[in-house]
Amino acid sequence: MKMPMNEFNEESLEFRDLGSRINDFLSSEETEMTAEEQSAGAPILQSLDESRYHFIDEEFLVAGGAKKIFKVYDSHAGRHVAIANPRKHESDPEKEEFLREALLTAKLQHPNILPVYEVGVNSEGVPYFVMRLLEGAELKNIIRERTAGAADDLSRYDLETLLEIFLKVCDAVIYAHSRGVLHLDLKPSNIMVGRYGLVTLFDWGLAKVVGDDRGVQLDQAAEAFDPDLLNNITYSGTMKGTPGYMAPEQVVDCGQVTARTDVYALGAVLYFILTGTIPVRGGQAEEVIENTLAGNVIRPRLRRPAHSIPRSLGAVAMKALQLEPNERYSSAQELHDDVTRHLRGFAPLAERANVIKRSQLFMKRHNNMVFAFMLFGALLTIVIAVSLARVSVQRKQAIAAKQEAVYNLALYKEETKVSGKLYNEVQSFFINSILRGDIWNYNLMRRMVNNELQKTDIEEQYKIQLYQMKAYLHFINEEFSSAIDAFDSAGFDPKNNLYKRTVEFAEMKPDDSHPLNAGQFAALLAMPYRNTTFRKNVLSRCYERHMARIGEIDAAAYLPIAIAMLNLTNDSLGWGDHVKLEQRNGGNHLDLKGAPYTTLRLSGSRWGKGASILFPLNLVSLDLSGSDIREFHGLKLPDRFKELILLDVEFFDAEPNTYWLSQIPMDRVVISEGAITKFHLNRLRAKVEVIEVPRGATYP
Amino acid sequence: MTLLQKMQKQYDEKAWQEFVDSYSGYIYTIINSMNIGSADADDLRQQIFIKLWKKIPDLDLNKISSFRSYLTVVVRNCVKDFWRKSQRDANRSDKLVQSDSELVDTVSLPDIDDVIEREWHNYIAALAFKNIAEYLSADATRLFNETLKGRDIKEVASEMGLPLSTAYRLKSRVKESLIAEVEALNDYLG
Repeated sequence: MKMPMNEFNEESLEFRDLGSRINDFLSSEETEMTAEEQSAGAPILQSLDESRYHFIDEEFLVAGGAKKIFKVYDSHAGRHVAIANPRKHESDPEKEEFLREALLTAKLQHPNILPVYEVGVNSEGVPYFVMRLLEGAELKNIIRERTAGAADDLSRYDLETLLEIFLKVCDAVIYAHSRGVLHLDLKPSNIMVGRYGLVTLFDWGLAKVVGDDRGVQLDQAAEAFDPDLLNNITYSGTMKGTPGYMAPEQVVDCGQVTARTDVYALGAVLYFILTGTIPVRGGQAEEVIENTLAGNVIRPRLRRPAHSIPRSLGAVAMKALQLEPNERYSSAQELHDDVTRHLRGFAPLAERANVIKRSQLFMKRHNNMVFAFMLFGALLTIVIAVSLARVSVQRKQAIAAKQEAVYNLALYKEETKVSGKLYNEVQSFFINSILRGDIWNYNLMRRMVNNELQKTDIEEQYKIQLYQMKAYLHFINEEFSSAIDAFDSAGFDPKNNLYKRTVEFAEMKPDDSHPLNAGQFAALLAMPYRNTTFRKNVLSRCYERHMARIGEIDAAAYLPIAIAMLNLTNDSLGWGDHVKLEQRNGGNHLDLKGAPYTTLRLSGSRWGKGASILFPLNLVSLDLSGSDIREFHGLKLPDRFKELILLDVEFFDAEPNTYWLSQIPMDRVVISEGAITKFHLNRLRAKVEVIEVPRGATYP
Repeated sequence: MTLLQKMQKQYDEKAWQEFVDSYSGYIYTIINSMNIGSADADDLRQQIFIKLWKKIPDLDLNKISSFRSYLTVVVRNCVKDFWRKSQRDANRSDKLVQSDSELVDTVSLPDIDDVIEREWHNYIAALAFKNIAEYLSADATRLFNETLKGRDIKEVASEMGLPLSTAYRLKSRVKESLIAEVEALNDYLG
């Protein structure tokens, strides 16, 4: 089986013509599939008949992204099995997609791969497939408990047992690769460990049939897998695996997955067995992905210094987890063999062990009297060996020093190249945005400023600008003392308003290491400043960073901050001293009657974080009657939020207003009679209860 | 998440690289179809990207209907600027021409918006085919390519020695996947 390897050049005329022909094709035919095509497009579905369904006593087990799994009783075979149904089964393509996974898994017949017993369609036309009932514990949970130190798990699953489990997973992957199938979602939670040495790899939902140009060694004697029948296409923009286990080439959109992509994931599983964590740092998916792409894998022994992880296994995992596919093991088999080498007491190839390590292992393997003699003989050579080794060590040191020098030079060159580029293209843009107070990426900008300031050959004027930026950045991070230093270095006039404010806050809180308290911070947000764009930009960033830093905050303490923030966004400095939170059943009520607020969103907020100004107030009810409110989008409120009161509010833009209102999860919205036209009212009512109150009446 | 949201979230080299990779061919094709010489075309493309790089972090995604509409504006302005400049250079001594704006308006420009729209669909269609090709067998790709040339499927099937039912199956599989990928790409990039 050879897959097509068309060369596509996106700038070529051919590429354009191809697109144009495809468009002609798609528009000449109906975009909707004809009945004939639909049946031709779902060959698996067409081949199944519905007369054989013989499963009873459904009991829900688990639901994933694409399928639901039940425990059922097979009345023909007289045993309990698991049955999977697709979550979506409206159309034939959806059913077919489900069946492709079923058929692919069914064709993989290996003791460590979850067997599919039967594929079919029930009397309602819903396809299903039947599998062995999985019993035992996910490898993920076993390791979690082991790392947490549960005593019985420690005894039942020592490292050696876990490595044997790992080898069985490798076996399953080696087998799949021999059939041209990549798993592409290998992770501890897809590995089930049962009793009696049963290890099962499952969930082939992302698997892909590939040709032998992808590093798989096809078993020519075996039946070929048909990619047209079995491949589910992963469409652009959808997630393609699990961060932490996905190889770098799987994370990027145009990366080419190969057998070495699975090798990486196996390396990550081994790493998890050794350390109980994924190979890169990161609490959130994006951070994990960023570190994956940068190849920031932390050595297992560094990650868990207390765990006495064997050096050789650490080396194996690191080799499998190399950023460049070519530097990893070329196949799952090679990885398997290196782990086996360790288990049998040899040094894995990846470790590049020296003579001493090798002989240690040798002694371990042959721990008997013969070695007393060998040792005696060896003593004679030791004297020579030591002097030789000394020479060798000195030479090694010299080489290492040279290598480091070369590496440093390369680093330096790279650095010069990068900064040169920065100067040419981004520098002026960068300066301008900061001086406008437009901090689009705080950490990046801070790094850039510090990098630039470390240079010795910069112009005086540029240096002053850099210090000014540094001052702003410190200010935003509530580091007022450092900000003053930077203002001084930039030669700021002490009469400057921002400088004076900074001094005030530095007196209030001289220690840069912790943020202002809630009252002080609200005062900071209410700070007057002539340049409103600058003020808005900088204070919005202050708010974002402050909120990210302090974590949970008490609703009452947060109220002044929220009001100051709303005033900042709506240019209504000073409004709202009277606003109070009222306790209601399950949360708080906020009265913003007559507020001069047109929006409740944070202006200029890019990542949607600012959408939640009101969020920490823990509201169940909000009254905006008689306010100037104009827009409702991005209004994020707690799940328990119930009631939004909008008496005497005019809806100037009914279409978007009602749409966004309908997107707020709440029980009811209260409006003045006739404020929304019937047409939009009906649409809104489909989503949420609307109470119309006659003009002039009050609510409740 | 669309590519643009990703760009804004992680305004760094990698996101930028993906962005450039995704739109480079498209922008090049547009410029190309306006009869701009290849040396200028490269300059112009670079200008467009620099402009985008500066603007993207400030874009309010709620305010633009689609990234493509925004891209259209940027490309159109850059191309117009370019034309204006090159005409000014060409007509420097020509006193008949009164002002820059008059210049651009009087020249019969190909309708940029139409070009941008049409090329987008072509680009996305070809890109979709490129993306799904790796999931398909050589037979499926060949059969589909022949159908694209307007040949009758029965004829192609017999030439390739495929049963007609298989040929239909392959064709509709490609078609179905194409439609889905075009839609996915429009969501992701558009």
